[in-house]
Order: sequence, then structure tokens, then C-alpha cells
Amino acid sequence: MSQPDKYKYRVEIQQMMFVSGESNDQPVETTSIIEDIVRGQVIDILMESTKLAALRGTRSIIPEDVIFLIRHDKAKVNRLRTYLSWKDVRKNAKDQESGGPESLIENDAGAANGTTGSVPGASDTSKMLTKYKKSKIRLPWELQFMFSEQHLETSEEAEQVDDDEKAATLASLKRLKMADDRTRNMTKEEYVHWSECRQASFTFRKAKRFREWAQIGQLCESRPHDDVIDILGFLTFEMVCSLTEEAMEVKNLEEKVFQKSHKNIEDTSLTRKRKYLFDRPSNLARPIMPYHIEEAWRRLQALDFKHKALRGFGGGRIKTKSQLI
Amino acid sequence: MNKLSTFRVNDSYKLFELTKSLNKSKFFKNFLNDSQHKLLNFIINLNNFKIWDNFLQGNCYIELFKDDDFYKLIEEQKAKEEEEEEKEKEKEKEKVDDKDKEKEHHKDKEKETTEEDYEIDIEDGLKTIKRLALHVRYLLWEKAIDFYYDTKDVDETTNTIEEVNDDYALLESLDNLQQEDEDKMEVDKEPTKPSVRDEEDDYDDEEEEEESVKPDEKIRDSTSEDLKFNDDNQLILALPMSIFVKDEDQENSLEDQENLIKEFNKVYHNFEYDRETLIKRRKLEKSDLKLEKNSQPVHTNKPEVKNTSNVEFAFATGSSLKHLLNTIQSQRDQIPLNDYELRTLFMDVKKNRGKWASDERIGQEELYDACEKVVLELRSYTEHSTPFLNKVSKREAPNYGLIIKKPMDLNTVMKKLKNLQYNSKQEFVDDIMLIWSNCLTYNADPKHFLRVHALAMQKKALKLVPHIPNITIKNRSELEKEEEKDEIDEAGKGKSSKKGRKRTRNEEIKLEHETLDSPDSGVATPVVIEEEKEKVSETPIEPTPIPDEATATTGAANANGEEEEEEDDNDDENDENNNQNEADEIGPELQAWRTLTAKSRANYCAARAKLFEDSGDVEDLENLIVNGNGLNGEKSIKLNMNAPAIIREPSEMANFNNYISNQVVSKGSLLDNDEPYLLEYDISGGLPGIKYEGIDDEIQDKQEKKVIDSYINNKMELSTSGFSMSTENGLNSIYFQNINQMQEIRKICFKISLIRQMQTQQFVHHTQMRQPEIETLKEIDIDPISKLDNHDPHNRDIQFHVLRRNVGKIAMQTGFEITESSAINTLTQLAEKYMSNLIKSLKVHRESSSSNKLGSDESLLVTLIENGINKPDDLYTFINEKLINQLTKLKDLRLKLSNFLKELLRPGLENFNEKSFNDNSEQFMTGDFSNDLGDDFFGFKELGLDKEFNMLSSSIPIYLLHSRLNNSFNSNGSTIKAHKFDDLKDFKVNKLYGNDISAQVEILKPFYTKLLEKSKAHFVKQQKKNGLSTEIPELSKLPLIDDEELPQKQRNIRPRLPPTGKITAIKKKPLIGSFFLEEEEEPLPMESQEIDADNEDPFGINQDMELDANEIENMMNDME
Repeated sequence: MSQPDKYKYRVEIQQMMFVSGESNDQPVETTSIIEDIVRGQVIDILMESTKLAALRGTRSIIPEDVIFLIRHDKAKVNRLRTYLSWKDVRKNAKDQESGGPESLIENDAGAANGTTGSVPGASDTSKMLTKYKKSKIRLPWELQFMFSEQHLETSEEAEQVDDDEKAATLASLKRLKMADDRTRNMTKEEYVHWSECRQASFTFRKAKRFREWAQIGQLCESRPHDDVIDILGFLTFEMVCSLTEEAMEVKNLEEKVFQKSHKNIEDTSLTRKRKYLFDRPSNLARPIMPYHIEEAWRRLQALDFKHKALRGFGGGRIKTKSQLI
Repeated sequence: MNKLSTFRVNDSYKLFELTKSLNKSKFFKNFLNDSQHKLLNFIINLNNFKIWDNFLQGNCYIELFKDDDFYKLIEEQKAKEEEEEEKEKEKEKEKVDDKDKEKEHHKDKEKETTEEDYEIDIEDGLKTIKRLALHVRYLLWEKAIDFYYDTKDVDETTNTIEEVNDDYALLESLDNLQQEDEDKMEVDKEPTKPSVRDEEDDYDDEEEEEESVKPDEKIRDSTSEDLKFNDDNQLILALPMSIFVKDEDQENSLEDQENLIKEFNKVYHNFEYDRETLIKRRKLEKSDLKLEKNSQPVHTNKPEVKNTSNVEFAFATGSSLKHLLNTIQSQRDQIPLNDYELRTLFMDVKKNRGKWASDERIGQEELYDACEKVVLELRSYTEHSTPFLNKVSKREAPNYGLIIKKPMDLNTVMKKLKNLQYNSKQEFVDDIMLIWSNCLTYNADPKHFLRVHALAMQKKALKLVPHIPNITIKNRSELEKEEEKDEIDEAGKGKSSKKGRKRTRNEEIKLEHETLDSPDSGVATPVVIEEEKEKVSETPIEPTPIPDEATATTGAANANGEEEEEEDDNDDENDENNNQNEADEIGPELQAWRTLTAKSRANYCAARAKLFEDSGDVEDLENLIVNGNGLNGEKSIKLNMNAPAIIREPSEMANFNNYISNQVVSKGSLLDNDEPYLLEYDISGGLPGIKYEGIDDEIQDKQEKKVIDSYINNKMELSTSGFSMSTENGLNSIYFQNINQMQEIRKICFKISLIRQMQTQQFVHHTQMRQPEIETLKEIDIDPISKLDNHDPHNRDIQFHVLRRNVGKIAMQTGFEITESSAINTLTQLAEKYMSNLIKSLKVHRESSSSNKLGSDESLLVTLIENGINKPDDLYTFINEKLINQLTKLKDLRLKLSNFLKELLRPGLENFNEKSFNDNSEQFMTGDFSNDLGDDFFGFKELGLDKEFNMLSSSIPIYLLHSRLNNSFNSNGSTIKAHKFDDLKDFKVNKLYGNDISAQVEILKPFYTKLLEKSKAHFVKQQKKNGLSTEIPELSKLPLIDDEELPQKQRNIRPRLPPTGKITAIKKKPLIGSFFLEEEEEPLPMESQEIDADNEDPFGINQDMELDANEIENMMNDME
């Protein structure tokens, strides 16, 4: 490594991997390879969305450009939407906190409305929720934008939950359940560490570092929107998670195979009950190695039939781009 | 199968039996040449099994010897011939002496040749017999093949051919025979073999045996003694020459030919003789051409004669008949008659009006018809005829003229025929025979190749000659005008000789011609007009048979051609020699095939050769063929792109079908001279053509009628074709609904955007208000013609367009309002590709030869996966999300948008306050601005708003007015006309007259008297103005004028209040131009005005009321 500072996100990646289930300490090589992959993906995203922006006729990337790239992964899009809307809510809330008496009045009104909400915090969240509903993110390829005119959304309309959203919430509930399972037996310190890890991000409060890392200055003509950076942060997190998950699967499979083929040795080792101080660590403590990541990457990049269906019986080589994960 | 065991085990005894029975049915006659046949006959008649066996093994040695019978027969024949000769001589003696000599000479030649003929045909030795044995074997085994295939077919088809069936009977009988004889055979065979001895025997014995045909056993016993072997252990077969002596009964050639033709298709003929054939054919054609050129001037007086070199329909007379022939030929398929019937039919017709028909010369037609046929036949016998087509050139044979005194060739004969120079059969036959004898005398060397040709031609000629009726042409008026005849005869002689002298150089020729001409004119054409005679006598000079420089007249082209011919001849001499030897070896069957098909083969070859470049010229072509094979690569042969393709014609197709069904190959579609159909040369290699009926007019009409009928019956609704009108099936209806919803939504969107425009822009051009036309989707069926039964509904074009339309629908459903047709085409092609991929992969899985074959369900699933559908559920979710959910979403969206539109059009109450009414306009209440302007000024009706929301007719929604019109009203003041309500009665103020003043309230009296004065003055003024009497009428008649009627200056000036209620105008008066009244007086009017304004009806006041107010004002002023 000629550049010692080439890999800047070792800690973050470790944290993310921890969140997605890998509990062991990873070697530097693993995080490095993950970082490389993620960076490549980010650069891909930036390039593609710049192209899209150029097609639109503008120079700067807007969030929709990025979302467009992952539009087929509906679950991810929905997660991203929720993420963005919550981000919006947070920002608005901050504004309101610093805002004048108007927000106070509304706050009162909200308190008055919230009959059950005895705690002011609860009323606050309910207010935030209504705000969030209003700032629901609409993507330009949704059905309603097919037409030249849009109706004004009424409040009750906004409260209707989309099917997509339902699916998204279901998925997120699943994840939450998993996280819950993982954290159930944690000690306080462990949980603190866990929650810290959950907040790990490539971009949060590190926008400048991220920009440098992903060479945004070189790739994009104009500074991308802040939201774009946030989205990229979200996506990078997802990337690391999916890579880790896949790599863990690979590892498990490998271990299974290994066990099968080395059953006899295993037996002998089992018979040897005594443990010594300088014994090797037990089998469980095997971290994810770079080749696991490579295999995971390969698997994630594998071309599915959908992409070559039209070329069937046609012969020729199919050009492939690296797919976003 | 067992029946064929004879052939499998090569049981010669049974084969012998078979051969015998076949021989009885004269089977071999067709396939063996004369001598061979006789030889076989002889062998069979010997009835010696041993000999037969050896013969079949090819183990025979032939020894020829001349026996008494032979000589006897020869003698007899000679005697006969001599008799004939004598007869002829007697005839001829009447004629000129020279000719007689010639004849005699000729006859001698003939005799010689006949003897030679017999000698040549069969040689001593092994070769001939081996060849014959092979041939016989071939013929026998061929029978077996026929039998084999037919027994196979018998189960399936009933139409077996009778001719062949006879043979089966034979074969089956053979089986029976087999069983009977089996034991005998076994017993007999053994003793016969050792009993073979070398023994001299009398040949007469054999003949005796031949006569005394006895039961088999006896024969076998006897034969064992008779056999004789030579050193090589070959059976010596002594053949008496007598068997080869010509039997007179032969040659019912037509039938033979038919039989031969039947056998053609049993052999696959290869192309190896094509070159030779083609070259010979070329020569023939060339000579035809020459002949034609020379004889053309003669034909001017005979318009019926066809002028083309191709003599196809030479005997088909007249253009009308030719036309008939053409039409028949073109519609050959529809004629139920077979070729033979047609031919005979034409023969009948032809006889009535031949081209040789002549009223003057009795019998000419019959004779010449036959003669021409013979000549043509001989000419077309290209196998041998080529050397005899044209006269011998000097270059070819420099001393020819010395040896041959009277040259003759086929073309000359033809010319003579055309010039009507023959008067009897004998003359014609003599000329023909002269050709061969000339050749034989000139080429005395018995090994010379031309002799073979000559002999063959001679044989052929002899075969043909008996068909010519023995007719001597007689002139009708001969008897009557004998005296005249002599005179003309002499005159003719003189003239012709003169002409001859002019043309020719040596005396001999001239003499000859006179001899030729003289009998002609003497016997046959005494009444022919002199001019004609001249021509007749003129022409024969040109083709003078002596090879001299006279050929110069035929033109340079021909000379060149000849030279080349000669060269070719030299080149080919060796080839021909070889071929000739071979030709003897091959059977008559092949021979016949070659002769019959020579012309068509040549044509085929020529047609093919034309496909190559540089082959436009015949010479070139020949060179190409001659040289191209030998010198490979020197001339590169390229395909000529522009050459017409060789296509199998429909008539040929019919021939093909006939051929396949094993019928007689039509030898020529109609007539003898036509080309037979050759499977081997068929352009599509013997594959049947594709059966396509095409669209028949009749069927078309029928179908169209049907459609019209159904159209009428179904109450003017055409029946729909299922696949292209599948509106109800599948997802079609959902797609339709979706598209409809989208269109509706687009309409609403347009209205909304229009309203937005009206809010923001000052002016809206009426074109902007026009709604873009959105056509409702209609399914258009394919045109009724294509729906007819005889049209293929699975036509690729139709299918493509159905798919295209569906793709278009999907595109619309996805949100495209309009699509470029090219884009849709591309999409359709992609869809097509995808679908075919689906099917292909399914096919691959279904038809895989793998042992681990997938079930039908599995293979379908795998197919789906391979084509990008991971599970069938995906399809379901796709339909659910993309179509059904979209429909509900769209409905929802439409509802929302229309609500939004309504909202836009409804006044927003929160923005609507009292200020809106400040300008006295009740229109604000109703929005009824356009009543006075005319109907639908704003174009709302056009937009369809009135229908959608009942509230709207011609009025503008108040919501819009508020934002837009309010400003303009503010700036312009109230320009809106007051509206008269119907319920408010028009209040009319009675006019006051001068006498009414007294009746007024006391307080108002001074005002009125003042007014009276004023009105008096006004009246006077008015009268003066109008030039009337200024006399003031009675007070009762004098109306008090109102303020309005007063001139402007005299009026009471009353400040008006603007609709805003603010008095701005007064304040703005410049101070300089104003004067100030006393302070007490000033505020009063102001107050009153303010009161006025306050009292004003906020909903607008009509003018009459306003007037009242003015009066009151005035009064108050007065009071003050």
C-alpha cells in the first residue's frame, strides 16, 4: 500500500459488519477489500447519475437520479424513502425548535389534539409524524406523475399507507426483529457499543471525507445535493451489510463442507477433551476473510437470467456492467 | 420375400425358366439389340441348361460359322432385292440412262453393306457373350426389384400397373416351379457335371433338338453330351450365322418404343454423354439454320411453312393450328386425354390440311409427310447422323469429288423435299441410301469410324423406309394436257440450264442438275408456273454436293462455322470412335434413351450453359464445353447473374407426376418432335414441386359471397375473426380499461391546466382552449378479405401486426400517449424474439435426448427461469401490480383530479368578501357575463364543462372572476350595465306640464315655476332651431323639461360617487383653478352626498330611482 491513507473507513466498516452479524475481528484485508468494492460502487453510482442528470439537462445530481438507479429494488427504494422522510422530519423539527412562537402554537394545538398524549414528547412525535406524512417523498416515475397535472394532496389522503410502504415496513420490522434478537442478551455496555455501531455511516458528519474518498470533486461537475450524499451514505451502509451477509453465508457453507470432508478428524479432535493454554482458538472464531468477500461479490454480481433472456439463442457476448448491490 | 430367394441364391435353373417365359412374352426384344436378341433366342431355344448356366456365368466362347441356312437366306434376300432392282430398272429405263447407272452402282453398294452388317454385329470370342450375359442378368434382377417393391406396395395401394403384374405372375409361378423341381434339381445336378466331355458334335443335332422341344429331363440328359469346352474351360458356343439373318416380321417400332420408354425411369441416366450430344445437336441446328437460309426464298410462295429453324411443329399446319397447339400445350394439365390420344387426334386433323397439301399434285401430301418425317427422324438420330447432315467439304476430303460422283446429304434431301423435287418414294429412298453408300465407298477401310455411323444410319433408314407409302405423285391435269406439258418442259429445261450455267463452274454439276431437274419437271410439275420453276431449278445449284468453292454463297458465317465443325470433328474423332465402340456395347434401351432424349438433353445443357458468363454465343458455348473441361482454369467459368433462371414449368410438373406414378413418360408433351421429360435433368432434381393452388377466382368469388351473406344476415355486422379481436380475453379488457382511464385523466388534466392558464395570463387564445383530441381506442379487425377461409390466418404479416398492436397497447398503458411507429416496430420485434426464445427453450427441454428428461411442468418452469421469470408468481404479481392495481390507482387518481377540478371551479369562500360587490355588479353573484355577448363566449361548452358540472352554462366561475376580473373592474370603474330585473316593475314618472304646477306641494311651487320658465325658453329655442313658430303653447301642453333634457350647461352638476365609495376626484382638483365658497355652504352638499352614498343600494340602483334622488337633491339645493 503506497498510500497509507487510502482506506479511511476501516472502523466504520467494522461497525457495519458487526451490525450485520459478524462478531469477530476482521483482518484489515477484509475491510480494505470491502472498502474498495464500496468505493467502486459509489463511483459507479455517481457516474451513472451524472449521466442521467445530463440527460435531464442539468449538471447537478438530484436524489431522484440516484434513486432511479436502484428503482428495481423496490424494498431498498422504500427503505430509502423512509430514511429520507425521517431525515426530513428531523431537519424540520430542528427548524421548528429554533423557530418562533408559531411552532409553539402548533405545538399547543397538537397537544390539544393528542388527547391520549399526556407526555409532551408524545405530542411532539405525533406532530412530527404529521409533518413526515406531508413530506412524503414522491418519485417522478410514479403513476400520478404520468399526467401533466397533479391534484393537491389533502391531509387525509396523505395518511393513506401505500402497499409499497407496507412492504417496506414489513421488511424493516423484520430487520428490527433480527436486531432485537441480537441485542436481547447484551449487556449495557455491549448495547451501547451496538447502538453506536448502528449509527456508523460513511457520510454522517463526514461529508468532506466522503467527498474526497469517493472523488466526487473529480467525478461531478457541480457539488451534488446534500440529500444525494445522504442517500449515498445510506446505500453504502446497505452495501456493506449485504456484502457481509453474503460473505457470512459463504463462510458457513465453506465450514459445512469442511466439516463434511473432515468428519473423521473432527471426531478425533472431539475425543481430545483437554484444552491447553496455547491451543488454537476454537473453530467458531473464524473471521470473514477477503476471499469470502470476493466470493460474495461474485455471487452478488452473477448475472441472472433476466438480463440475458433477450439474448437467448442469439449468441454473442453479453456486455455487463457491475450491478449495484 | 421368399419368392425372391431365386435371385438371392442365384439359382440359375429358375432363372432360366424365368428367362424362357419372359422370352415368350418378347420381353427381351426391347432391351437387346437385334443380334443380341437373336443370340439369346438361340441360346434359349437350345434349351440346354448347361449352356445357359455357362452363358450366365459369362463362360462362353462364340464361334461363328456360316451354315447352309444362312446362305440360303442370303440368297433369298438377294434374289428379292434383285427382283426389286429389276423392277426399278424397268421403271428407270424409261428415264434417262445416266441415272440408271447410278442406281445400279448404288444397289451394289447396298448389297455389300448388308453383308458387312451381319459380320460386324457379332464377333467371335468371349466379349460379346459376356456383355450379353451381364445384360440379361441385369434385366432379370431388375424384374426382381420391381417385384420386391410392388409386393411391398400392394398392401398400401391398389393401383398397381397391369403390365408389371404379368411379371409377378411369372415370379410367383417360379415359386411353384421351385417346389416342384427341387428334388429333381438336386438329383439331376450331380450327374450332369461329371458328364461334361469334350466332344465333337454336329451342329445339326443342335438344331434338331431345337425343333424337338421335349420335357426337361430329356433335355438335360441330352445336353450333357453336347457340350464342348475350349482350353480355358470355356464353353464353346457355335452359332450358325443363319440365326442372324434378318426376319422380316420385325419393326413394329412404335410399340417397341413405347415399351422402351416405359422402362426409362427404371434407370438413372448420368450426364456423361451430354457433351457429345450437345455438340452434335448444335451441328444439327446449325445445318437446320443453313437449310432454312437457303430454302427461304423458295418458301415465299408457301406461306404455311414455318420459318424458324426449330422444326418442332413442322407438320403442324397453318398458324391457326399452331395457335391451337400452343393453347393446348399451355393448359396441358386440364386436358383429360393422354399424350398418345392427343397425338392421334392431331394426326387426324393434320391429315386434312398438311403443309404439303397440294391440289395439283395428287398424293404429294402423304408422300412428303412421310418423307419429311423420315428425314427428321434420321437427322435427329444424332448419335450417328452428325456426319451426314451436311455435304462433305473439300477440306475434309480433298479427293472426295473424285471418288464419289454423286454426293448426297440429309440437308440436301430436305431441301429437295421442300422444293418438291421428289415425285415418288423410290427417288427419295434412293437419295437417302446414296448417303450411306457414298460414305461406305469413300471410307473403304472397314475399321473407319464413319462406317459404323453409316451402317447405323442405314439400319435406321431401312427401318423407317417401309413406313413411307409407295406413292408416285401424279399430276391431276397430266392426262389432259400432255402436249402442253412437253412444251413447257422444254422451256423449263432451257431456262434452268441457263441459270445453272450462270451459277456453276464445272459442267458436271450442271449436267447433274439437269438430270435431277428433268424428271422432276417432266413427271411432276408440268403445270407449275414458270416463275416457280425458275426458283426450283435455281435452288439445287447452291447445295451442290461437290465440295467446291460454291459454298461461298452461304456466307462467311457459315463457312466459319464449318471450319470449326471440322476442327471439332477432328478433335472428337477419337472420342467418337470410343463412344461408338461403347455404343455397340450398350443395349438398345440406353440407345433409345439417348436418341429420344438427345434434343431435350441438348436443350437442358444449353440452358444450363447460359447460366455461365461468356456463353452468349453458340460457338463460345461449344468452345467452353469442348475446351473448358480439358483446360481447367484457363477460362474461368463464372456465373452470369443476369441469366434467366431455369424453372420447372407447370407442364413439366405434370410430366413429373406422370413420371412418379410410373406412367409412360410423356414423350414430348404433345407431339413426336417435342422434348421428353427427363427426371435426371429436372431443375429441382426430381423433387416434387410445392403444391400451392394459388387463389382461384371462383373460390374467391364464392368466399366473398359468403362473407356478404353473413354480413347481411348478421345485421350489417361482419363476423369477427377471433384472434385479432380478442377484446374480452386475457388481459385485454384490463388494458383497455387502463387506457381509457388514462385518457379520461388526461382530459381532466387539460382542463385544469387551462384554468391555470386563465388565472395567470391576461388573454387566452381560443386555440389554447381547444382540447387535444384523444381518440378512444378501437379494435380494428383485419380486412374481410383476409378473413376468408382461403387466406391463411397465420400469415406472418397478420401475426406480426396483431403482436404490434398489442405491444402498442402495452406502451400506451405504460403511459405513452403517442408512439413512433418505428419504435413500436422495434419493440414488436423484440417481443417476437423473446417469445420465440421462450418457445425455443421450451422445445429444447422437451426434445432433449437427455436421460434425465424433465417433466412437462418442470420444463415449463425451467424455461421461464431461463427467460428471466424466476417463478410463475412473478407473472401474477406483475399482473396484479402493473395492471389491476394500476387500474384502481388510476380510478382513484381520476376521482381526485376531477374533485380538484371541481374545487378549482367552485368559489373559494374564504377569499370571497363583501368587497367583491363594491362595483354594483350582480354578475358577481351569477357569473353571468356572457349572456349579452352571446352563447358560449368562453368556450366552456366546448370544453364540456357544462355537462360535467351542471352549474356551468355560460357563466364564469366566480373563483376565477375574483382573481382575475376584480382588478379590471377596479381600474375601469363600473362599466357594467345595470340589469333590469323582471320582478321589479318599470316605474314611470308622469311628465309634469305647466298647469300641473299649481297642484304641486307649496314648497315646490317656486322650483316648478322656475322650471317652467326654463322649459319655455328651451321650447322657444327648440322651435327656433327647427324653424317652427315660436309661439308658446298652452301651459297644459307645455311639458316641464327634465334635467336630462337640458343642455349640458344648464344641468345641475352632481358629483358622482365612484364604486369604491371614496371621493378621490374632487380632492384631486388643483387648488389654483378652484374657488372657495363660503365656509358654511361648502360642507352641506358634501354631507348630502355622503348620505346619498350611504343610502345607495349596495345591490345597484336603477336609473329611475337615481333620477328621483337627483330631484330630491335639487330640491334640497333650492331650499338652501
